Amino acid sequence: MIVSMKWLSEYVDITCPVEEYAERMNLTGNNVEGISKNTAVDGPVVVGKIIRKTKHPDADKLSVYQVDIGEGKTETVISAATNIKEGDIIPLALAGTVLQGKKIESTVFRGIESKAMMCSGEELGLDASVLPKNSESGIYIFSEPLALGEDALKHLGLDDVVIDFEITNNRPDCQSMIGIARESAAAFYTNAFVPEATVEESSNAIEKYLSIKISDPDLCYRYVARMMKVKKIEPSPLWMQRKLMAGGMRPINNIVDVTNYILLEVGQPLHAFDYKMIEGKTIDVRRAKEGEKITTLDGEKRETRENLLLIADANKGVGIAGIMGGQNSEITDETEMIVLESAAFDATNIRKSAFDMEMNTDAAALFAKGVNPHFCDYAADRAARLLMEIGAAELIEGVIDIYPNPVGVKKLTVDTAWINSFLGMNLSVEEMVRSLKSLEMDVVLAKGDRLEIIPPLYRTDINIKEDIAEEVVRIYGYEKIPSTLNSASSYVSPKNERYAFKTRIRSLLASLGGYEVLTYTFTSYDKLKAFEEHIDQEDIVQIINPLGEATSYMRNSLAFSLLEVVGANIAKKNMKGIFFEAGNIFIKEKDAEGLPVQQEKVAIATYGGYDFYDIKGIVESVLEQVGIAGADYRRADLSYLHQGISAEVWLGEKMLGYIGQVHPAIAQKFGIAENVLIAEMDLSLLYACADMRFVYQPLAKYPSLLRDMAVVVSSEVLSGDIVAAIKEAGGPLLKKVELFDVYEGQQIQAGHKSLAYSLFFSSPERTLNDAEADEAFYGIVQTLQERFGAKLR
Amino acid sequence: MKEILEKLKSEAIEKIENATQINQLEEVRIRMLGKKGALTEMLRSMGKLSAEERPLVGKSVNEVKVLIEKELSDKKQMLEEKALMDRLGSESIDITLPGKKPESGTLHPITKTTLEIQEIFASIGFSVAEGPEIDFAKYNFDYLNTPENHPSRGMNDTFYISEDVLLRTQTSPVQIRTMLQNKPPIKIISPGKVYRKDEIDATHSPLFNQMEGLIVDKGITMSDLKGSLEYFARSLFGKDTKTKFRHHQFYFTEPGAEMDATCPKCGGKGCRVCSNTGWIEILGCGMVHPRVQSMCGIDPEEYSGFAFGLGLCLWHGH
Repeated sequence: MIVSMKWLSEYVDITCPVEEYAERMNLTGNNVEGISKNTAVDGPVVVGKIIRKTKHPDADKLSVYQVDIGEGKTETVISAATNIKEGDIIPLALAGTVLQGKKIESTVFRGIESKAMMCSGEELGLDASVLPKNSESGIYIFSEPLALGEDALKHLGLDDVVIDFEITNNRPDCQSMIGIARESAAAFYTNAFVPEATVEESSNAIEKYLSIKISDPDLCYRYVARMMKVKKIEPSPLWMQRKLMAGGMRPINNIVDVTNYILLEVGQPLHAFDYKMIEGKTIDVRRAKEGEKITTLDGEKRETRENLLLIADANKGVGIAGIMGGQNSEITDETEMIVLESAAFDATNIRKSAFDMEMNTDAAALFAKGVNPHFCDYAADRAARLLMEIGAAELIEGVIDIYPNPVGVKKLTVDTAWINSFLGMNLSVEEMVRSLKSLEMDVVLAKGDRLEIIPPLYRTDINIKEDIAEEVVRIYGYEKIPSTLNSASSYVSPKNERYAFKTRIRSLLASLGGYEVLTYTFTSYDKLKAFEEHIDQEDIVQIINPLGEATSYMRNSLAFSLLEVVGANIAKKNMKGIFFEAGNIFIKEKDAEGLPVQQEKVAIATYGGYDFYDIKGIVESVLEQVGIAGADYRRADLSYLHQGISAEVWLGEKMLGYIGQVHPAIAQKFGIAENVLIAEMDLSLLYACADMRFVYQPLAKYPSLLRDMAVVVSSEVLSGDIVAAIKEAGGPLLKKVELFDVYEGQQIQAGHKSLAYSLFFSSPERTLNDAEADEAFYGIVQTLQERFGAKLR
Repeated sequence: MKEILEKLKSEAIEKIENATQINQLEEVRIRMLGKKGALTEMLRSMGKLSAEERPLVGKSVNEVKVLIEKELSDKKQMLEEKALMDRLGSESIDITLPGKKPESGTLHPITKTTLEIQEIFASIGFSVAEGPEIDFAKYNFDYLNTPENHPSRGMNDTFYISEDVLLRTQTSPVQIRTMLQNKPPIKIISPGKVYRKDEIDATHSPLFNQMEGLIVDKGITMSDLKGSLEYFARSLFGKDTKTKFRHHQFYFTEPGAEMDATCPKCGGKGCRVCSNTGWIEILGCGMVHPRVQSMCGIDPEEYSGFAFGLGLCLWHGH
């Protein structure tokens, strides 16, 4: 809500500097989003009248103007503008004035000197969207005669400060000049002046012309109508235009401008119908019938929807309630009588209708916030009065006001002691009453230090005692609330072990060289398919209203996100790295609650010179650090991984995740031409299997004996299988097996490899002798010979 | 005999004194005290002496032996010390060459900030609670007292998976789930990803990270809210940080507020980061709305509480 401080001063006396005013408004909950002077002009801009226009003798597109600026002075001005003629009143910037950072100086155009500049609205700081149509492109033309030589900026309202207030949804009553004035008055413990709206009248002549019925009172809470006889449709007076422009609205003509003026001043959207077009002298506010059509003001022929509320005459719709008028009843130059509508419609239905009809009009936005029926009659009266005041129309006496269920007063009783204990304060009853009264509440002190409060009717947001506590303290001042550190609660919530575990995993991966990334969890179907060709659309979670196709599905794997990160890094010539992410993946299958399955995963990607054993080492380190021992690695069969260089990580019957080189064809699709390896583990499983206890283990009492063993086996034999066989054959004395070398090459038969292990033998009871170790050792060798055809090297 | 002994003694001492290498000392030791050394020989030949002479000579020889052993040991220690000094003196490296760093990465700045904030709140008894990113509309809106017609429920503001399932727009559903499942006292913070239908630009993203907090217990007051959140701001931005509470409306709080803190970049003097205001909006907060408590089965007449929420952006990691 844009508020002109000059306009506001008509309703409330603010004596402090504007910055101080804004700060106080801010603290009381009227959030100030910006304060600005509304002009970019420095220096005199005066009102001038074009008295002569001649063509420039030496330039086709230029004209020479004589501009009268009063007191017998004229200025010669050269301009290329095409929208001005002799007699027009325009703003003239004199030499020395700085406009949009540019200084006006006397210049000679092909032999003729130009000493000043006629200005457009935009040059003076007005937005093109608020300029009257005749001034939209070219020089601004005043719509009425003004004293020549006067300050033109003043007449345009450009000597003002405007404040942009954010109005929260619970306070539709603040969406107006009067509403802001009321809040300002409360904030400064003063009074707001609400302009007079009483219309002097002595008959109910309107009833001869019109009757009104609300057929659907569940969607229309109040309907007030007044009728006026149009005198002349012309531009509204400059003072009104100035205020509309300051409020961000374009002046159009006196009738439309008054309705917009009321919108800004009172917050009530009005609509004007051409009376001649209303058949049967009747208006019915009703739901649209099935198949009913209406052509709206914008010329669109529209099919109505279920629950769409129409303003209808005896035969047809003449407007869509609260959203847009009908073309058939539009005000034109021929309009003789108008019907002014001031109504309150159901906010939810307006919001839904506007959405269904794809008609996001300003009026719909306002009604969707909730327009208070309380103001309907005031707004209609005020509009009628203004139309008469500016000479736009004459009154047809009387008002029709259909208000089936008037909003009644609410009375709240609140214990002052409760207010203090809830706020943690020690306010006197007088302070509380003062705050509430400044908000125009009716307050009576009852027995037992209780307050009986009747809030004004427009305060629909005040319903419970907490609302009263809030009103008291926001006006009294949040800054005066003392600070205590949960004085009443020394409770300490138990640690979330799972979150701590996740933090530990992240920290481990960072200490192992990984850079953590956070990526978008949504992506496109194409990307998902690029990663997993046979993906089933039935398995993935789709957003029904995405920003675009590129963000329309939830990811089903983290590895996929990391490939995008790697691809992006390679594109930026960052040729080596380890990235990781911990986050959710999403699967369409429902969980116990009925939500899509959401699993927390941790994934790692390495590229640029890292091999399978590097990333496996990272995984092994993490497992070791969280006390997961005994994982085994089985060949994986995943479409996006290299078959020979990928493994599933198993712990007993649970698959913790996988490790592997991304299939080169898939890496290619992500812009990765080289080897990239990924690992993805399930965080819940890791957490369930982790053993983070500290276990004390004394140093071995007796020394261990070491035997190294190198065996030659066929290349296909897996070291993991050999180690398992060694452990099995080694018996209780074998304490540890460590691989220390793998060799394939010249000294080894083709198709074979040499694997070298260190075997550690020991006993907790005594020192072993060589013979015992040798016996175990040869037992192992024999087993390997039998099972794998292994030869001792 | 005595002369020979004296001669051997002075010969040994001279050699020891002149020795510059440890092996020269070894030579002396072998020559004098070895199996066939001169003194050893002398002791061995003592059998030929008379019973009267034997103890005297034995004593003299032993005295010389002890003396030589001590001299050898002293000189050896001296030579070893000198050798060490010489070696250390010659071993000088370029200490300005770069070190060999183990490979290390880093946590994402948002994770670091989250952890920092989590530690601050842990110090006053809050622990982390987490919940699903895709959640029921009821937990994201209904239980939070969001009006039926509130625009945030609309397809323009919120991503939907189905009519009643959505991508949470705040981590508040975690607060609701916690209140539904637990009796007070409750002290939680809930960090996590949230989703809003904003196009990506310099200051907007359809996905961002948020941290919310909730306390519900007997006797929690608005002054507790103020004190706790001031404690948080000072812990995060420094002890001289000032805060400002402005009234603000949220449907799930009553009263509601926004908290500003003096700009951590300029300390409140005004700079580009704070648009020259000296203040930065940090979080929204308020006393938990009694209707929210009732819906979650927590009697607002018995318990009260406050909640807060902040978006995590990089400036938190000052």
